[in-house]
Amino acid sequence: MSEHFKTVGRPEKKVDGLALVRGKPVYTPDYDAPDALVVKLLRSPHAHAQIKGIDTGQAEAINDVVGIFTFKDIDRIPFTRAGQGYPEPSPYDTYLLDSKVRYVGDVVAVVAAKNEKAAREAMKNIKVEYEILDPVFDMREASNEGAPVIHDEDDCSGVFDKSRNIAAHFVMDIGDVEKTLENCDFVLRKTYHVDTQLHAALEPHNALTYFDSVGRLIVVSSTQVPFHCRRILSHILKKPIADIRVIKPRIGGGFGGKQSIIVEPYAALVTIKTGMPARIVYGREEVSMGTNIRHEMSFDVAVGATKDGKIRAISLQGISNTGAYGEHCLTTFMVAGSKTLPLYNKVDAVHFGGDIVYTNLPPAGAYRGYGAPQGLFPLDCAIDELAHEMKMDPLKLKEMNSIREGETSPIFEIMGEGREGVPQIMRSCKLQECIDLGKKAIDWDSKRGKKTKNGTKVRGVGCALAMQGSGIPKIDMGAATIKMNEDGSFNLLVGATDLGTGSDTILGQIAAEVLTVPLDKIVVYSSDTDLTPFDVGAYASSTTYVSGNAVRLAAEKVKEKVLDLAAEYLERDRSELTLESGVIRGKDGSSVSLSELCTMHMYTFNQQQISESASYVGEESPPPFAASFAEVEVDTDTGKITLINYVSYADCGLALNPIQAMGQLEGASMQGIGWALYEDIIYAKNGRMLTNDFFTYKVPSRMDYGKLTCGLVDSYEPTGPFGAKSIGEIGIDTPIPAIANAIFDATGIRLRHAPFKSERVLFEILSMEV
Amino acid sequence: MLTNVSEYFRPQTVEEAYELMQSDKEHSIFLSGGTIVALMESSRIEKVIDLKSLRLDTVSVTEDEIVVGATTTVESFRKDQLIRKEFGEFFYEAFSLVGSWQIRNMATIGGSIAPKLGWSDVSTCLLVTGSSLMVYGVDGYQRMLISDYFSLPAGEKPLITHIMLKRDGWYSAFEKFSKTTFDIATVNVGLSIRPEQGRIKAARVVCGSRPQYPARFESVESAMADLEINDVMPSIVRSLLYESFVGGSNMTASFEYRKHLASVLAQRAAEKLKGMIR
Amino acid sequence: MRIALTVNGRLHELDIEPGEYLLEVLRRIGYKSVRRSCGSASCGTCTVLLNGKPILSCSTFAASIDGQNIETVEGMADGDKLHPIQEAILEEGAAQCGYCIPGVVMTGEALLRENPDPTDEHIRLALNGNLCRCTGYEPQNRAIKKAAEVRRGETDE
Repeated sequence: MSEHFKTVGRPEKKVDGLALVRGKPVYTPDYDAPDALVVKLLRSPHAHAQIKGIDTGQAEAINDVVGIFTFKDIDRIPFTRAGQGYPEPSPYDTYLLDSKVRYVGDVVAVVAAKNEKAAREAMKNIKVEYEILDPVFDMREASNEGAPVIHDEDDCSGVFDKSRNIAAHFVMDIGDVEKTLENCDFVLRKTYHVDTQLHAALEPHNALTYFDSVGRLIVVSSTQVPFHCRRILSHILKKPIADIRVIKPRIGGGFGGKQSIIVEPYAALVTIKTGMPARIVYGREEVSMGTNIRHEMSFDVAVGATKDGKIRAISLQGISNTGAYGEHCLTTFMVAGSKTLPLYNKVDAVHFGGDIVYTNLPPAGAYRGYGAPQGLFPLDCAIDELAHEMKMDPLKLKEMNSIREGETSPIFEIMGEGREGVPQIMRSCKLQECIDLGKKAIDWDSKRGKKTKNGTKVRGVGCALAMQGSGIPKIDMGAATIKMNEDGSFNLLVGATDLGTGSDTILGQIAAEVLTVPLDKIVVYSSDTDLTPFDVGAYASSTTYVSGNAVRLAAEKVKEKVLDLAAEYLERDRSELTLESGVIRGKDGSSVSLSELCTMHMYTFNQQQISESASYVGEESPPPFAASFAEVEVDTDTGKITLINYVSYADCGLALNPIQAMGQLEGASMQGIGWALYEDIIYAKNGRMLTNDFFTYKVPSRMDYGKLTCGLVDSYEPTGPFGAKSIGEIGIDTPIPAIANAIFDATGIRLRHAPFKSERVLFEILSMEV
Repeated sequence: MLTNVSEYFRPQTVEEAYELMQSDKEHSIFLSGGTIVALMESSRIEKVIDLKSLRLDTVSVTEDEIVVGATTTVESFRKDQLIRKEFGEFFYEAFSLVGSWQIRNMATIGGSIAPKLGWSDVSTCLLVTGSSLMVYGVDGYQRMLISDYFSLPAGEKPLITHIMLKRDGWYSAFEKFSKTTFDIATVNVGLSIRPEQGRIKAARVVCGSRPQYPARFESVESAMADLEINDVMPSIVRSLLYESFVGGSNMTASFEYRKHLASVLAQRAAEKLKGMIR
Repeated sequence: MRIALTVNGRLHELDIEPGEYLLEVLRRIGYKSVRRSCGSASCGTCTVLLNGKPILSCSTFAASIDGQNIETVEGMADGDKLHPIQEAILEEGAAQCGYCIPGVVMTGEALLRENPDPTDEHIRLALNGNLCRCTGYEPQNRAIKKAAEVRRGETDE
């Protein structure tokens, strides 16, 4: 496919690459603002408490302290931090500053000072009187009778049942699962539990705010959602949207952790109250404890199949832990079903449901995969377990029952994100090719079931299949504006947010391809709410598909315009003209280059700015697919799991930039591997997160894996820009189930609680031996 | 930045460094490698006494000992030709996973022992090779065992100037278990033996990151005396350490897990030694 | 207090607070490629070369560097000509968000000075203290290998 294309499908170097390898100052902390006030947040040491009194007098008297703000100093406006389309499908249960604290780390006061030393001194001298309340930490106990009520305030809205700490609730049924299971030859019922995870992006959350020369609020932030940020700031601070500008420079990683509006409001508050620029930079502990973490989820899964190998019914009933506040609570839970269950579309009955509960822990939020990995663990492993009951190769069972091109699932229509979805048929699904290539790469047939021993170590292989989505259909909108310059180059203005993913580059490639110019003739500028058109932001794997289609449409419009103008200028019929390699040619050999055409139209002939805009909303959300395989070595004497080989093949449609697309698959795989084997959040008894820095929270290093082999299969999605779908999230869905299945293959032990800590593994092994 | 630091000293002599500390123990720290200071973030510290200016960073050899300056970095110690000649690849490999390359270029041998860190691989390895310290304190220069240094009450610690490694020809092995490769030990074990005619004449057994600081297990050492160095020896060592292990639980691991791991590591260290000796 | 340090061959004489870390001082005098990430000596993002050796600037007191020689990524390229590691990173797609890249380039360069022909294992061990959350490491390891080849090719000429 991509042989026809000049730019699309090529591994073009990133448009921002030179800045990155030269270490240029392109991130939010690099913006100079020498007179910016230092903003620090006083945080609650208690998981659940009422603030009876705050005395800031002594702190305010400290030299160089400019202001201290508590709940008494601001308007109380309920909102959600979730960076989602409006109206957000998350409860409005958050307050910029409140008289109640709901987790260890919850914000109590905002300190603004001229320097760090004064700010720290001030924090030590703020006297807070707390009335400590009983906390609840266990999500299984949160909705019990008598559990402390976390959101007892009158003015929160959108909470399903605040008296029982249920932030949201969802249930969906197709057919009758129990009845169908009665007629199955094999039925499996188990409970699976996935613990939470930290994003651990290298750049801490930070923002810089200031008033420009006419008093507009300018916000420079490391955010994935500049437009949602602008709207939410307007709502909380009662400032018109027209008076706010949000600029996203380069970001040092996000992974969903920057898909909530977290730091900006505090800095903006200080700027508004003091008139001064304000900079807030979270320390690593604050990033870990005071932003968002992943939703911990537990599912009771039931799956049934008949002797012929057909899976007939699946049920997933779960609980999700949204922590102290409910941003992203309903949507992540729904995705645990909507982006997993359609994989096995040939069933007769499906049940999916559960509660998302509040606990007095740090708030959970968006995180790559967004519920899909938490749902895939029970789904894939239960089917894996069933296969063993049926004495079948689990890959075969999954292969036989999984969705293929041309098929559909009723779940697409029933379940979207926070609301109904849209029906769709798989116009592209190369899951079989992913399976075939992956199984060969790991040598599945000869390794499976062998339990190859080496002293106390034993090896095994496991597999997992996955799907995701490409944007939220009928909701996520992206837009692009392209304007032409007299040298035949173009400015591409997109709201779409590049967080290191390379979206600026691939969007530039799309425009370059349509306009028949090399990539360096497209100057990409993104994520500035004053200058770039709207885009929901970087999440839901929407950028390639949604923003990409907007760019393609805008570029097509520009191409049409250019041909129209050329026809006029050359005095030829429009139908005789073609645009190729930056030159418009007529059948008779007459021609004009893009630069000649634009120069004339800028200065001397039919003067106008050649510029077009386009928007796109997905009618569908064509899923990418993946098949992943893990080979592990379990040390039965220590419980340590060594990842010998990890293979993942994905169908992302056409890969607009194969290197960048691979990078997403590899990076997401590694993040999932870390979650499966090494990343572990531990709380003290009082609810304080203990593993809040990189000394204690271990993400994988270079020596923590053996071989990593990722690949992209040839595919083409007709509704995507040049056939592309998406690739940003899917890689993180499969490591946990693939590794769990590999551990079973090696040892016969089923681990149903992730991460697979070595201590847990060892004691499972020891109890098995007894 | 350590916001309350108002003075930074670069003493030229050990005596000067010690006197500076004594004059304001409450608010001063000795600075060697600096990696521990980064983890501290203390507002108590007002004076930094930089020991690097003492130039205690050479390795020299006498008839019975190798003398290592306390501010020698872990990386230069590990790569030092004199050390490798005497101890083979023991320190080179044992220290290859101490922190990261960057940390090894900063952390010093003396700075690894002085804070009495539970998880210091360096301390475990030096203890197991029978090393001792040269310290400077209220009574001037003194030799001191590492274990005695560890028993001193906080606030009474003399300044470590040198570490002396015994050139006793014993065979040493080190094993470490950690969650990831760039991580402190969940537990670590050092094992040294003096073989004589196919039997263990004497042994040193050290277990660290228990989570407490590294300690010798004398009961295991005496039980190992006269053991034949054969295929069964490693599993005997394993049981011995399992019975005698003293440690605790923390957020990284439970006591039971550490105990089990320590015994497994001891067996693996013993296997290594067996392979070296036979 | 006043210190003098050479950064990328250029002498800087400046006033510092005694408690300042090298990271802050370098950023203050304009070397913003040196970045703060973890603050606990655990990620390698802030790596610079001190007399040719990779160290963590977030845990090194600026005062202890008086009179010494620092290298940062700003000094790696030769005008328009990128250092081989930088070029290889661009070709291999080894920079996604780019936050870890200066540390990776400096540690990689220090490795190649010591070992011009490193194996995959050597590269992994030398850079084990440079965390990357975006790329999954493979493209960066390939980039260093590639840069090593280029460097060896150049010196043979």
